Amino acid sequence: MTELNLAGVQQVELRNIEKALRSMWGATASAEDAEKAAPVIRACALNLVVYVADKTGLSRMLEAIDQVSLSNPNRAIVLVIDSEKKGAELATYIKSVCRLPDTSGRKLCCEQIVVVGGPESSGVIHSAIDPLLAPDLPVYLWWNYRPEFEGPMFERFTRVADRLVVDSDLFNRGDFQRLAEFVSRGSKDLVVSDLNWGRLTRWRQILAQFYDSPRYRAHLDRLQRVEMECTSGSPLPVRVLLLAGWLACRLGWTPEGGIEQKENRYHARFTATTGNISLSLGVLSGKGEDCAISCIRLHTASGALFESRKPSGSGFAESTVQLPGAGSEVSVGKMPNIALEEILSRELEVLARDRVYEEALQVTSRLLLEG
Amino acid sequence: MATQPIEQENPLREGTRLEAATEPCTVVIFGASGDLTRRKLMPALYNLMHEQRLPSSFAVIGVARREKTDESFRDEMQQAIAEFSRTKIDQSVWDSFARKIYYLRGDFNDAGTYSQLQLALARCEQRHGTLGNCIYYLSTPPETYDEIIEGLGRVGLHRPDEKRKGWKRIVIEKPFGHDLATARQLNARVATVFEESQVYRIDHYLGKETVQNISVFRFANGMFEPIWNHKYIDHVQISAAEEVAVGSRAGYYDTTGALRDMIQNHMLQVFALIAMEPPVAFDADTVRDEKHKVFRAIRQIQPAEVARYTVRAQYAAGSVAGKKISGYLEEPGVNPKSTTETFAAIKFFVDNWRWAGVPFYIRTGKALARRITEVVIQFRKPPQILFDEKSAGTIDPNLLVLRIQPDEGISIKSEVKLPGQRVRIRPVTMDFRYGTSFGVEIAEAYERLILDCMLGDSTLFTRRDGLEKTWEFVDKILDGWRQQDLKKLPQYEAGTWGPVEAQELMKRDGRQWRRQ
Repeated sequence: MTELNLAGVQQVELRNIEKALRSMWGATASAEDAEKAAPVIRACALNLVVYVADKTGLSRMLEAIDQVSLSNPNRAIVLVIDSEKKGAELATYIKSVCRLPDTSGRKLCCEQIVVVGGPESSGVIHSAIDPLLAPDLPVYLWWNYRPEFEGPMFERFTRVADRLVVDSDLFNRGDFQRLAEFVSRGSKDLVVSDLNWGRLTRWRQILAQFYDSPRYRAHLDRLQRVEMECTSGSPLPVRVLLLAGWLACRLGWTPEGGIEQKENRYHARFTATTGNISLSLGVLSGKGEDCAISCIRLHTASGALFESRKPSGSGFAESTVQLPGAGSEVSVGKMPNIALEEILSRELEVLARDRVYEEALQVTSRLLLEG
Repeated sequence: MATQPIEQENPLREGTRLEAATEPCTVVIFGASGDLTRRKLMPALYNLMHEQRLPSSFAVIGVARREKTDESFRDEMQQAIAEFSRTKIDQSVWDSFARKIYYLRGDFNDAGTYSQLQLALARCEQRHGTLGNCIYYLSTPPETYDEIIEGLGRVGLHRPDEKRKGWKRIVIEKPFGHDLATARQLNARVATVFEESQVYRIDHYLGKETVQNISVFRFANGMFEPIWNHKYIDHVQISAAEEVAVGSRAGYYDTTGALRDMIQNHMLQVFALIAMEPPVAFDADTVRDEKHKVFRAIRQIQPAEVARYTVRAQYAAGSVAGKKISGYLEEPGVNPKSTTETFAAIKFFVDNWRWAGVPFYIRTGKALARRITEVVIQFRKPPQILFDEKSAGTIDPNLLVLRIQPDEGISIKSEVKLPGQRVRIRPVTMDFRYGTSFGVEIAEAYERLILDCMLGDSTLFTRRDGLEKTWEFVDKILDGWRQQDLKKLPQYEAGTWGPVEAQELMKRDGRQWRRQ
């Protein structure tokens, strides 16, 4: 065994992996039958390839993959580079992940394969992927780091994938630009998913909902000022800028220059056929915290306000519409804090290219470029 | 499904992940004190609000005879939601929802009720900006439908608001009539006030994800359609078994029976999804045109043929899942001389090119061994058996099973060779289970259907012509049963799979119901 903490795994030889998996399932099934306990269903709807560049985050990622397997049954192939591992040989481990029996008494199980290599194997570890893939199923590559868009490792990994899942929350300004370029170069065979985009779905839903009512829709053309507030551990709250980029591209706003920072607020200006729009983004420093949006306010020239707030720690958002000379209309809906595994699960449900994301990405990238 | 114009108009709605948006509206529930409102409608509306699927410009008006205030109605509904909602009630969402709920006391046969409703709707529009859009939900006993429809029509509440393009829709709960004549009467009554495009006849079975999946399974997979016909299919079975006895519904059930309660609506709708031709588009009218065509193609069972093609029975005392059950005739609220069937099985044919000679068997019953609803497609055996069945084992036909509830999913049963030198053949199943492949929580059927009604999508609702065709079919069986004039129906022990006569119905064709 390696010094890595891989609970519940069984070490096998890479070349014998299918045989070992069969025997693992055979043993599980007969053990279950013998006890007349929950029969096992081996399920797989996709391949999830995960790259782990250093072992420090491995246990958290394995935990997330376990959880994801329960909602999106998959064959997970986790490739780990362990800087302390000597030699060029790859060590391979397998394990099953099972959900508790449901009402029918059956237990759903998936399989995980962990391949560990040392620094010397970084040039070959990708070659383990192809033979391990479950055939005829989509391949998702979860790259939970800053992507090395030009690096050979990244290129080799993405070659086998149908969908690349990144998290732009981990990116700096340069990474974000490179992601936008990578997406705009547009590979037919590789679609990019961004966990950050998934985190924004609820906010997009809320903002869109304001204007589903035809009586409010006309206000979209009169928006003049956008204010956003967030708490972030990072000085550059990419997530909120991505939301601003989405608003801009949907409403036909063109960035006039990039974002400017004054103390703890970012400012940007947009032009549109209907006039100028200003964006003001307040960032409250929350050391080590994920970026969390707490308030979005959209003001129109005529004094109408569309506001959505999510109090810190609350699982709900309160949306208010205030028109000049009229009372305010308030509605509350759920806005849970979403865990990594849940957001990843949702990304695994999407296969098609998300054009709206790609457009939002380009506008956000312009905001960052010109700043 | 119908395209939602609102999605095209709101630029923020563009994108692959955002669900279709509903327009502002008021939902008026007639029968607001009833069980359906408490158990299904209000929890469904609350969950839609919780999931942010309702527009902010939204209101509910409950109408019923009992004296209540807005406040007391809200309190009752809060309790009901806490008890019956699939999501836990949350105070902040509830507070926001409660502000949109109102109560109107009124007799359905009193013209004043509808004038009051007019005022209440105007107030809602003023307070909540509902833009004159309105859904009238008839959650009342069917004998009140006439007076409500007439009342709405008398004060013009059925008319779309031309100026602001405000729509009006009416949702009608089953039973849609007691037989063909009363169904026609009801349809004619509705049509004197509402256009057919405004009418949403709700059958909650059609809101179930797995029922909707039948169409996707058939028409999104190229491999099934070529074999979905008489050349390859031996027969089709549709079963809807319930563990529960009649319970508190005894009074209603005794005037209805299994044929009217389950087969005329839910089961024939499922049959239509299995048997209809591929529609040219997946929109409300095209899908319902195809359903109507297949209903027309059902070969009627003439009254004189009921003994040959149908079985009816009542449950006798027994036990279900370890619990004692009294016989149907001993149930409180049931006439001890009742000949209402608690179990019905029928065999029929569909006279069209695709299904020529393929029998369809449908069965449903109460107090059966287990709750299960499923469709079984049994394929023909291979034209020539190459293997000696004496040594290789009997070759079972292939089965495709679409399980609707519980444990929703699809199974395919096929034959394989057991390992070893000798050819020994055994059946195995390949299983797809909805719940295990998609970890999401499935929304209640009512949530889906109410939302569809708000969106103006009537694909999953029953159309007048289809409804009358199903009654035509059922009516002839009812006639036949009346003519049989049985003093006592065959009995089956509660907790079994029904009467031996139902087994016989299959057995004499050399077939059997799938073993559960």
